Amino acid sequence: MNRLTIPTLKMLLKKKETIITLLFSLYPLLLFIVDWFHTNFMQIGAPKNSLGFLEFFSGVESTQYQIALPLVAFIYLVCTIFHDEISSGVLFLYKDIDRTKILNAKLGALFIIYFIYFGLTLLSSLITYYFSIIKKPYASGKFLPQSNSDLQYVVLTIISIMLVTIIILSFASLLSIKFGNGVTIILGILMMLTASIAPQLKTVKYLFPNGYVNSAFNIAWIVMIVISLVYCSIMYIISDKIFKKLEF
Amino acid sequence: MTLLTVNALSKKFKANDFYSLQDATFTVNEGDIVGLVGKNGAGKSTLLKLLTKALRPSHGSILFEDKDINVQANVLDDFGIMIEPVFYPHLTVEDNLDFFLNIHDKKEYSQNIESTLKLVDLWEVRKRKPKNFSFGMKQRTALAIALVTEPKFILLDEPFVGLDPVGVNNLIEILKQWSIKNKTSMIISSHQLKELESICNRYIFIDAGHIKKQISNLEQPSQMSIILKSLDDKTSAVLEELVRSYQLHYKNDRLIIPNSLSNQDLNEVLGKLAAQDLIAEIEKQEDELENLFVED
Ligand SMILES: Nc1ncnc2c1ncn2[C@@H]1O[C@H](COP(=O)(O)OP(=O)(O)OP(=O)(O)O)[C@@H](O)[C@H]1O
Ligand SMILES: [Mg+2]
Repeated sequence: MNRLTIPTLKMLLKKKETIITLLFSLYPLLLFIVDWFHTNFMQIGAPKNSLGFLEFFSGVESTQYQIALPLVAFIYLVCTIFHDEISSGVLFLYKDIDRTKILNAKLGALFIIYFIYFGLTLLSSLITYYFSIIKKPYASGKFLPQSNSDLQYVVLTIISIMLVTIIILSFASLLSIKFGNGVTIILGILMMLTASIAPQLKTVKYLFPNGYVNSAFNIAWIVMIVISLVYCSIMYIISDKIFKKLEF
Repeated sequence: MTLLTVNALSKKFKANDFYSLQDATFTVNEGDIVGLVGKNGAGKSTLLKLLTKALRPSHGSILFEDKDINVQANVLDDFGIMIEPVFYPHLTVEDNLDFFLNIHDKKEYSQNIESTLKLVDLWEVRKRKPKNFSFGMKQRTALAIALVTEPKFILLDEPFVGLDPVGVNNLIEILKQWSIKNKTSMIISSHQLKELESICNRYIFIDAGHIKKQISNLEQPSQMSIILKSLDDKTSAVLEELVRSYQLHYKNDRLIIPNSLSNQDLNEVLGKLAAQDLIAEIEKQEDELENLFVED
């Protein structure tokens, strides 16, 4: 956060790309309208009286990730924040403010938008769960899962999706400083696919934070955060280097 | 007082095997209004982008108030820049200015927003988004952003391109007013030599990346002469009055109108002459700047 972050955030919140992206957080509310929940809409096996709120929320988050659209919308937003501003000369507005400061403000505002998205998803999941899901036979009506091991699994799932999203957004930002929107979007989607497939492959399972959801909770959450920090730091350092040298 | 010192400034793009700008050396004093002229591809935009730090020099240095601009950040604090007409198209005109003041930590200039927008004639549309503006309105939006912080130094790349004649005259009037009010220095690149002549006191001519010539105060400024029909007592009086109030010259049946005359004054002068049916013919003089392009 620096003094540019809030103006940048306010500016971004007025973009239609941001609004569209944030609209995906209302996705759980769809369940109010479309009643096909029992047709395996959420990919959570749900026996009677089993589905607590947090499990529902992690199911929502996983589905958002799997349908890929929200993340593609985020990557497109990244393109408008970096490449579009560079190629259209909008960066002239910033004159010679320290480039690292500009980069930090842009990334900061982007991640705040992601947290807003996360918060809105949480909120709309709460509304959906307590006004609609709770009436279904498979709902437990409890906030937390039944068992401790279920709780740990659900928490790891939620954190891992968050971390993977942050990694992909950092990657997209790095690409967008250097390349056009086509390259950024294609490589960004490739990265999304890789991150979804990797946990199922023995050799590269532990490359991404979501490979650890079935590991021992106490170590898994730390390892997840550490490897994500490492990836993001490396990408940040490269982004900063390129952004500093950028000519337009 | 020297504000800007450019020393042996050169730029070669990686993709090219030639220098887009080579060994440019010049200074700009406080209050100077420098016209930057040269053919397409001569290196004008390259020079201006180097001055705004959008490009980094291959060699050479740029000092503003004795500070090397490429050594630290925020040296261009006192610059108003319009290299391309840029703004955020999805923010209203007012929000654009507000955003600009915010990121540069210059909220104290918020009170200038109204006067600046009135100056560029956008006050009425301040709540609109520039996305759907006409070209001239977009240009003026960018200009308002460049002017709102009362910069000491203004850089404009081809500000007249795409403007209709009225827009061009308005822009010239705005810049003139601004330079008189604030003693601002400016570098303005343009192909519209007549327009430049009406505001600039100096010229830098670039050709193929080299500064070929620097001219201060054109010896023979561009001017218009109006050849008049024969005068009688009444019309002589009218003419004398015109010569006195607009500081014109009259000799050998010719009324000499300098290019520096404002648009409004010019209209008034011509109107008064026309009312007396005095105009026989109008001539435009060849001028020094245009000759630069014809030589060699
Ligand atoms: N980003 C770039 N990469 C490679 N070459 C460039 C780049 N920008 C400009 N050039 C080259 O540098 C030279 C000078 O270009 P510049 O844009 O400065 O000319 P100019 O005087 O502004 O021309 P114009 O009157 O057409 O605007 C040209 O040969 C141009 O092709
Ligand atoms: Mg140019």
